Amino acid sequence: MKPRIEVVAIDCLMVRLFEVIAEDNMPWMLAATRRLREGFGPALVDLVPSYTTLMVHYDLLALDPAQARELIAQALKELQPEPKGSGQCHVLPVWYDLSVGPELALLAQRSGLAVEEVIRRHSQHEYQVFALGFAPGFAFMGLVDELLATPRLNTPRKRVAAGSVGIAERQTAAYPVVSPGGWNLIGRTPPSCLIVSARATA
Amino acid sequence: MQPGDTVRYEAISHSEFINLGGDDTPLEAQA
Repeated sequence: MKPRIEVVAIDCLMVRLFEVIAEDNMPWMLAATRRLREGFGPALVDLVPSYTTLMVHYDLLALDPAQARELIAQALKELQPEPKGSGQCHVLPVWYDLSVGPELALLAQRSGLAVEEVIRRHSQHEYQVFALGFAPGFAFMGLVDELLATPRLNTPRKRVAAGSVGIAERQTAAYPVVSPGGWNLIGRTPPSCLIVSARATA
Repeated sequence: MQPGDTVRYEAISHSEFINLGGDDTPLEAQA
């Protein structure tokens, strides 16, 4: 791992830890998140983890950019990965059905698998939450079985029901609220289960 | 949920989905 620091704004730096998205990144990303929070202390405005990067937004009245870079270098020095299993495991019940997940058929066709096998493969894996974004509570998870990887729809839907479960490339997610969306929908979880899951984390 | 957490999707039946308060309105009917 050779971290690179990129300038986002006068008070914001992007720490790029990895070049490739992988589940093995997460223990390192979590360790870096913890060390950066400790290192910046009250000078940290926001820290946004993603698949391969951490965006560090700091208080320019407390630190100048050179000091911020030095704090990042110190935080990443001799970094060790967090122990696996340090996060919470959420279970989302999903009704996989063509009426609420019309792209089940598309995924089956693309992969050459039966719909039942698509469902089995999607539900047999424990996914990492890599990042939050797009909409409040929207968690980007992965990595989906390679055979199920499917690009986003060419034309996004104007309205995706709350609780809809989808796949985009090797990512999967459940829409927490009604919104537009271009992911391939394969099922639906009761929105109350997503809310309970969010409360458990809060 | 937050980065570092994990998620498992568990396949359930239609009746279980309804019992959990799910809305089974087909997607096209909601558009």
